[in-house]
Amino acid sequence: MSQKGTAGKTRIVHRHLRFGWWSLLCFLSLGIALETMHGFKLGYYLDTNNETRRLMWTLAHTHGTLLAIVHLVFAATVRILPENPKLQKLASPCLCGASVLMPSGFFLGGLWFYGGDPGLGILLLPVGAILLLLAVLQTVLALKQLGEPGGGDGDGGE
Amino acid sequence: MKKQTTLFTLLTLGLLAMVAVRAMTFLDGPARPDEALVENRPIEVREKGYVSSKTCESCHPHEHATWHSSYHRTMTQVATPEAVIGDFDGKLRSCRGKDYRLGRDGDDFWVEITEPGKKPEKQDIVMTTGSHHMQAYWFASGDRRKVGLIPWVYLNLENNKRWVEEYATFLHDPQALPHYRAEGKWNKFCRQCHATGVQPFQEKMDTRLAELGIACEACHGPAEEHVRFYGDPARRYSRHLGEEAGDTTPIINPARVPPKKASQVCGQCHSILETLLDEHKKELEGGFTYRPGKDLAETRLVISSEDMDTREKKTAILKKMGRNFIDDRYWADGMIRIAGREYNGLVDSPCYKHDDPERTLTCMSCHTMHKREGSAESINKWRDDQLGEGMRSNRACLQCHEELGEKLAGHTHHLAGSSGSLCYNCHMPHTTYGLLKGIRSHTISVPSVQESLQTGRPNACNACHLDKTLQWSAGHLQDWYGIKAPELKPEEKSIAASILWILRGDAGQRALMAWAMGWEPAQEISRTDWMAPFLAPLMQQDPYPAVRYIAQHSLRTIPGFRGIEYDYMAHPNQRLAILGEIHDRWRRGKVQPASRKGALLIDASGNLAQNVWQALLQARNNRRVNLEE
Repeated sequence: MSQKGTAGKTRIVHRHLRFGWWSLLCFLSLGIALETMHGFKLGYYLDTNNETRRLMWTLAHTHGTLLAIVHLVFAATVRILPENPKLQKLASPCLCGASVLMPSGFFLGGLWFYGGDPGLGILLLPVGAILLLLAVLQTVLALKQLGEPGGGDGDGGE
Repeated sequence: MKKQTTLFTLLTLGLLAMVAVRAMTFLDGPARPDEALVENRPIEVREKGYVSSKTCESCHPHEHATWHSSYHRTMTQVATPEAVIGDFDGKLRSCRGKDYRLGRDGDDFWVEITEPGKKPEKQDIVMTTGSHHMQAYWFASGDRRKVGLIPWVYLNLENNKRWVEEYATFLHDPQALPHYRAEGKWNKFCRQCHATGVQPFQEKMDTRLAELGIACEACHGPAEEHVRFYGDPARRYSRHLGEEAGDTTPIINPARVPPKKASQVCGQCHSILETLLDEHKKELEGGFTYRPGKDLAETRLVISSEDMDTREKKTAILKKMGRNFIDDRYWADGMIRIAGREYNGLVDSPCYKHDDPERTLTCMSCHTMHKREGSAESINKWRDDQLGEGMRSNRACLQCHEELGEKLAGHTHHLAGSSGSLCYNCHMPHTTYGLLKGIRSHTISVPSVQESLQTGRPNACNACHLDKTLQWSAGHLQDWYGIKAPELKPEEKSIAASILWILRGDAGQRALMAWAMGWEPAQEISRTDWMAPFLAPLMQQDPYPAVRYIAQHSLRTIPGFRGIEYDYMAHPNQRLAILGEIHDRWRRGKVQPASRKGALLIDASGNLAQNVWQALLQARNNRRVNLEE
């Protein structure tokens, strides 16, 4: 593996480790905030007519947290796999985009909403979902390299 | 390896797709998935364009939640532990020669009926009616979906939670014994207003409907097309952003249709009406034909005061509907006198009859079916009458009669801020009867002593100033408003009108006056220290249990009588002593100087004029009263 390639892979791994842990911090904090609103029975969150907001923000917290973990798993996956330009140039930015757009879409969709319908912010969600799908698809395809001669040596380039 | 992976992926996707499709079809199914298996009571079906309130919830969560907390929803329910409020304690209760045992096994409720000479018959309790003031119970008759009524009702009133015989919760002629099993009554009559979207009768008593209780589609119309139309998110968001989505589906919002059509939505149930003959046949075949937004007159005839304002018209009504039809529902001048028929009152009101649509009084001028988002009013207070915010104040009337806002005391001749300056206390007095209480008349009217004389209906003045005579009221109405005082008899000039009505009036008048004696504004202005001797004979000997109930309820609000031991359903012999006990307590109390006057039959020493009191009792109007609320 070339020095440049190793450096590139390392950069991706570090990126997703940072992204993952920071996202986890952010969305776990959101979860604590939602629990606090439960604890203090804030009508803005708990009133029956704010059910859509409650649903959307719960989904924002859940998706944000899970996507943070996906980042960490992705970092581990990239570390194991041999260098893969498509993974670096396509899957990585798609995953980053998805983990911004999807929780944001849910959150904004709950900030202003129309009865049972989330607000227009929800339009970010399908875009994020497609990006996530692309990222996962690219990763699945990259797994073909495992078991090939010279593939999957676990070299993290440290 | 590659082929296996592809095959595995395709199989997984296929399985997920099947699950998704199945889930979607399941979501389109009946509200209760096992409803189709039920054979012993009316069932809910999604036919003829009805989709049920469950479907509305996802897009209209606030409206669904407020409706869900209302008493409209619980008008009819399946008898589940969540719905049943009665105490099914398994105790034996007898009623007119039959024994009833009401019990419960886990989540199932039952009644065991034993008729003389027959084996006990155990039936499932399958449905309930009501949940606010009282709850009635329907059992499976064993004959398809026909249900019968048990003759016991559970009273759910403050300080009075108990089983009573069903007839005792109505102001019904005690001489006329009801048909207790009443099998088929719900299937034939009650379903019209106590359920939503009644479907055609495929077979006699095979009752199917869209939803038990009064649900969304009862007021908005069948929603299937509306749901399908707005399944497209582009249309929904177009509407959210204020654009017209091109919705031509038949669903309506009563708040956005012309005022008279809006009121008819409520009027389809809250009125006395008969189905037009042609429609009756159509409804047998096709289910109910009225749809919110359509003209109610196309399918129903609301029987209002205009239909009986001449002798000929009255005769025609009586011939068609039965000889007691008018007496059982209306005052002699055609004003509605029973609860639950407020639309009749509305259409007789000048505020409704005029031609200015901007100022036409409708049900929604004062009432709201969905509590406003963010309103500080508690759900319990709101759902009691479903009044809109501010509608318990003069704002209800000043919406249109703004000019009176500044000069209210000058108009009412009562202190501003007092109960006498609340518009509805004069213009909507408690002269309709229902649910064991006086209820505000929804015919907006002007206080009139003349009407009291002609119809027997208490006027607003004397229904609050319980210690005053008809002459007193007539004099003030003449002085203040130029209304000519009528000719009065000696006792109408000298004895308080409330005493005349409560002692010698008919059961309807006695009930209203007994109730008024427990009404706080009337107690405040009239004092309560003189009332007990006039409530006592009702509690002792009134043949109408409802009158006895109301009298004891009012007596318990009077200081010195709150803890009195009394059962209004006790045997007459057991009630004999109550008269003496009340008189003793009353004599031990202090009658204020203001109450020591001839109008109240009390002399200067605080003693009751027994002779006059007795004479009025002897002259009681014992005519049959049977108010069909």
